[in-house]
Amino acid sequence: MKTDFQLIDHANAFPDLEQFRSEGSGAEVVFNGIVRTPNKGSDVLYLEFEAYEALFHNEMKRIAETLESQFQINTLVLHHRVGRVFPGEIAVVAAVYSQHRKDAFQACESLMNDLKSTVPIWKKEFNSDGSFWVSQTP
Amino acid sequence: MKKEVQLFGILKEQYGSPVFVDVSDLPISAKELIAAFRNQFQEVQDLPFLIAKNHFMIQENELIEAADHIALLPPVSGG
Repeated sequence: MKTDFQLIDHANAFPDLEQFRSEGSGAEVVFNGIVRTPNKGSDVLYLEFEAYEALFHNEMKRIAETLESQFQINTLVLHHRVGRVFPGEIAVVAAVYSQHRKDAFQACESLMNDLKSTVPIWKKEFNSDGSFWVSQTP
Repeated sequence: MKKEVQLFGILKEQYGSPVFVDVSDLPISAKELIAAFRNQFQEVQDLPFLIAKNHFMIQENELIEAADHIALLPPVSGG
């Protein structure tokens, strides 16, 4: 299984996913997480993402090994923005390449669930009413 | 004795990073270090967090040596 995990510091710096396609992958499932507004009744101005880069790569490697034991995956991709991200911009791209769609869909959903539970990235929301750190887990 | 601890997110915003946690001795368990941190920074009593050693997540029963890089992680919120 090939992997590509990156922290991206600019909106135009997301790598082209075409490089991850191959003749052996009949399925490409891509999830784009986009900053939305409003959120909980407030107009979002931007999100500020912070990451612990060394742990990010180690944790992504661990997640990839787990997913590989559960699904048939040819390539696993996760690209996540850091810094300031505005409404309408992409915050995260998760992509799974597999022989068949079922594994690709399920692995992509699992990848996003894992991202939100253990991957060391934090976001602070700045909105029309102030700002707060978003808490999901633990 | 003080142990350097790197902080992130809301912890970093509140206390800066790194911080130096007062400990009686080393090595100590991760659980003991977390308790010492909570004792020194009492505003975080209700905040759950994970701990990482040398850039890997660890459990609270793992031992921490003087040379280990330690980070305390508040609730993550990627995506």
